[in-house]
Amino acid sequence: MAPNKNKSSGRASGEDLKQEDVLQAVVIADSFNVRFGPLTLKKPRALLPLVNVPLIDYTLNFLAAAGIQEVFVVCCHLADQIRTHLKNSKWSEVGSSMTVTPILSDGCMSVGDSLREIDSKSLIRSDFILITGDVVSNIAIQNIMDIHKKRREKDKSSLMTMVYKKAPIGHATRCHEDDIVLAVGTNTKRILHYQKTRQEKRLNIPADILLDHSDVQIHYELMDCQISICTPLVPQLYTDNFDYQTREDFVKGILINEEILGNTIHLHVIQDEYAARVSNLQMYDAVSKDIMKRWTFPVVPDQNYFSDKKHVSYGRHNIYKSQDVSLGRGCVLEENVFIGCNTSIGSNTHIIDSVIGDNCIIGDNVKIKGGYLWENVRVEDDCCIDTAVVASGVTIYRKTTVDVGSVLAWNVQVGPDVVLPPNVLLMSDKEKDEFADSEDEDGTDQPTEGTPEFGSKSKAFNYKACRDSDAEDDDDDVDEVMWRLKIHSDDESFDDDDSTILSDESDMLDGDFGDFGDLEDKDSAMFYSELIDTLKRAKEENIKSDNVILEINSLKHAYNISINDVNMSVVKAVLDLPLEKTNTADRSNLLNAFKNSLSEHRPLMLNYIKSSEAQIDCLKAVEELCINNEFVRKILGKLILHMYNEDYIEENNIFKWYSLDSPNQTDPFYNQIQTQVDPLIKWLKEAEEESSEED
Amino acid sequence: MPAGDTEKLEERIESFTKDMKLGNQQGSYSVASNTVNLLVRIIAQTKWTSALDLMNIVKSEGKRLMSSQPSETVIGNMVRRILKIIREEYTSASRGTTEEEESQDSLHKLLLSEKQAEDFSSQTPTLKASVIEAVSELKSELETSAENISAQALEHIHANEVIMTCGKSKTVEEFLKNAAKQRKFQVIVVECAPFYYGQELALSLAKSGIETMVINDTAVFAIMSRVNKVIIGTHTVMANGGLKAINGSHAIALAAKHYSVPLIVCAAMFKLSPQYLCSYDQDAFNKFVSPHEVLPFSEGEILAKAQIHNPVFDYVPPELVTLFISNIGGNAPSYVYRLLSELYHPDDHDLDNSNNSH
Repeated sequence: MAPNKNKSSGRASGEDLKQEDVLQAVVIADSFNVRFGPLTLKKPRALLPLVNVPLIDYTLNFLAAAGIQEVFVVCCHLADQIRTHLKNSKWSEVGSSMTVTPILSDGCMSVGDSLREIDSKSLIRSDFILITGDVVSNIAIQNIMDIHKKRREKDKSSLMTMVYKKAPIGHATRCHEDDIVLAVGTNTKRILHYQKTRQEKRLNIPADILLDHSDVQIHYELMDCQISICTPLVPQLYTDNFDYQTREDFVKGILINEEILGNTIHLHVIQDEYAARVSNLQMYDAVSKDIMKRWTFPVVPDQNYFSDKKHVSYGRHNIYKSQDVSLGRGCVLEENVFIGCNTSIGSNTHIIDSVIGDNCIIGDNVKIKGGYLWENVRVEDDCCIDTAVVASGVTIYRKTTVDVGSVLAWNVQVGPDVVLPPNVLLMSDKEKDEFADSEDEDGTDQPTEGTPEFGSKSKAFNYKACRDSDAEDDDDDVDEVMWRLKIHSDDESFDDDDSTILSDESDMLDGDFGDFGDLEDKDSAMFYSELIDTLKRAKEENIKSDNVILEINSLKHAYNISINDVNMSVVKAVLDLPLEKTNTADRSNLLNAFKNSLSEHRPLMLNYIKSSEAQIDCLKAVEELCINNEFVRKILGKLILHMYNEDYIEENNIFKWYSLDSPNQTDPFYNQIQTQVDPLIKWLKEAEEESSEED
Repeated sequence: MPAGDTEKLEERIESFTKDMKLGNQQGSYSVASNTVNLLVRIIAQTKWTSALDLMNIVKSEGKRLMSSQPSETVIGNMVRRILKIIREEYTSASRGTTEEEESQDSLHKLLLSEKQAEDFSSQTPTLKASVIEAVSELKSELETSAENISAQALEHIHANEVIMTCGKSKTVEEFLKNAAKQRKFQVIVVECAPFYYGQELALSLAKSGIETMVINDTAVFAIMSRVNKVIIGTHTVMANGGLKAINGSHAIALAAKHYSVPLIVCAAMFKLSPQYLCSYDQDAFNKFVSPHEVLPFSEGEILAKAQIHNPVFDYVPPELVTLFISNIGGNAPSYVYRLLSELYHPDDHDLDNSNNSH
């Protein structure tokens, strides 16, 4: 009996898990936006049903399947509902393989806030999965975790692995809002540049990226799955940088700071598996269809994936029927249809690409195409619903047409005998927030029960997305056209649109480099003068070198200077300071002054002049100084020797610098420099040979 | 029994159903042996007083295991086997009769015994031990089944024959390798798109020195005239002797019929299911998986406009099968009904109904 136990017992046998082996995940169960219009006023997005199952259940099941043992769910908006949901879920039952802990924090306004909260509670002990509460996936994340850990072993600086899936332009499960351009090292899989395209028609990829890396791939076909594997450092970094609001901010911040902090972000592209985030209504539509078309297998309604109690039967053409469904005579379920428990459908009704929830009553001669009906919806005879979300408790009276892109929120009533305009967002109560006042003045809503334009028995009011004062304007535009975008994508025109954008972008890529030169010069000049001031002030006020370094780093950001320039400028500044003081001093004094200044700024130098690249930069700076100043030119050899003796520079870097093609070759003083350096090089080489002979 | 043990049992059941739902367990044999192990634990660790109690527990837990992956018939088969064992052990314990007499009931005796229905309610203190012992016999049967099947290889494969097979069946792989130890023959492997398991099988056969050729699914008919025997594995043997086998098997079976090539199916007894085919749809029979093997997700626009199906199994009707080779010997499809009545008690064929009757 004993030998073949191992598979089934596995984790269960109570093996003592080391603490670092507990796999953790953080689920952000809030979207921090109003993409789901009036629907999220009463229920948080994570609990909205997707093919009859709350969104968060998809995420939690995905994590459980991946072998995660400890999950923290950060809930903010309507947190109580999520907490109750989790309490009643199977995760709180005995024998559950995963503990799910809700973290309630009403104060959180962004992903950044949530992670700062996580950090302040110091819950994270090892690498963890960061995911939003609305991701549907069937990835075996364990493999990606292993790759991430292996990479971490080799390279401590890797902070995060982001998961992407290929979904080329025109793919239904790709939404324009989340379009993204990535520059990635071909072999290293390191993300070098990250940019959301949004409405922008231009693409700005810093020239450095293309210059510094020999192999760069630029991706436009990837879809962000919103799953990332993070090191415990990530929440700390969010705490350190209180201005990081979203993961996008974080990624951008890391990429810009990368040169200083040395942190990197990597990417993983999944092949066969499925992962997508329900980030807006268009994605809601697309992901629902993907589930019904079984891309997410085994996460499909008939596999009893979520509970053993609800039985769903599956038939050809992706028709899913729950128990106790009654179908009228002559009704047609064409393809990709899900029908919930106790739902009855009238005769001659035609349904395609739709989800009908539990306890719905659909009348006769109804046409539903791309409709997402939740629970307890009543649709009377002769109605027509096209691409719309109809929330629980809605009643649609007879002969009503709900047109493309509509959202009917909780308990709305519309009809009878009306044709709703496309893209209406309706709710059953008037808005109660501070924005309501202006609504009244507009006079669009009338204080009576219902609005006549939505039918005589209607109980419906227009919903206007409350504008987030922090959000950028173009963000809001995206909100409003969300469904419409999708409809465009049905037309061919959308694709054409996209391809022209792309070609524009590639033009931009070629053309934009010309402007870089002047801008950068100006910036670096400013940066340099600031740097000199900083160093002077530091000396006067006796500021600690650590703080000076911090200040220089912030200057670097302010003027957007590359790290090479910083290195050169620091060296130049350190040498310039004594030069300014001793304008007409004689040679020996000057060398001593240099030496003093160098030892004075030793911590600073050591901080920046570390890598061999930086050392070469340092030598270049010295070279430049020589070109401009004849006194320095004369003592160049000694200066370099001093720097070598004091361990600022290693000898092989001196050789490298020496063998470089100097940009100053045409300079009249170049020869002088060479004559100064030649003996030094000779001496170094001899010394090297000697030492190697000794060996 | 301390509460900790039941908790652990619950955890085990959870992890088993999770594995089944995710499709983490590969191969009918491992599913069968894991099911039996789990059921032994259930028998040993839950509280029950009579055989009836025990049978109800096994049934209800068994149904839970089965519902985790309806297309995996082996789980149900094992549950039924164990129910049958409990029945037998109970009768032998309460009557004091020996097993041999029981199993050699004649039809006439069976008919008579129907009248005195068992109620399984009297106390039998030795039942637990004897059931567990009998189940361990079942386990050793499972363990040796592949060996027993491959031992018959030389009776069916002769020198210089051309054998066709498809997909990747561990039983067939053993069978062919065993024959190759003494005879020289050629194997043609049908790759079975879209999963291409056939390629894996071909690789493994070629490594062990068998002359192997891979053909694609469309070439089956063209090449069938050259084949002496078709030897395939199957996922399940249905109650009527039909097969639930890997997608593509039906086409091979039809081609074999057309050329009158014998079709031999290697299947251990634990694959024999009391189910009949009543519908080709998933509920009763098939399993439809993600379409990405047929058309990758990165294909783009076309996906929105196409219906893509990716069924895993084919139904092969019993008329197309010449012979079953199981661990207890070769049988014709028409004999399957008899095997069924030996392996399972008729009351257990439909677990839902039999549960109601008690």
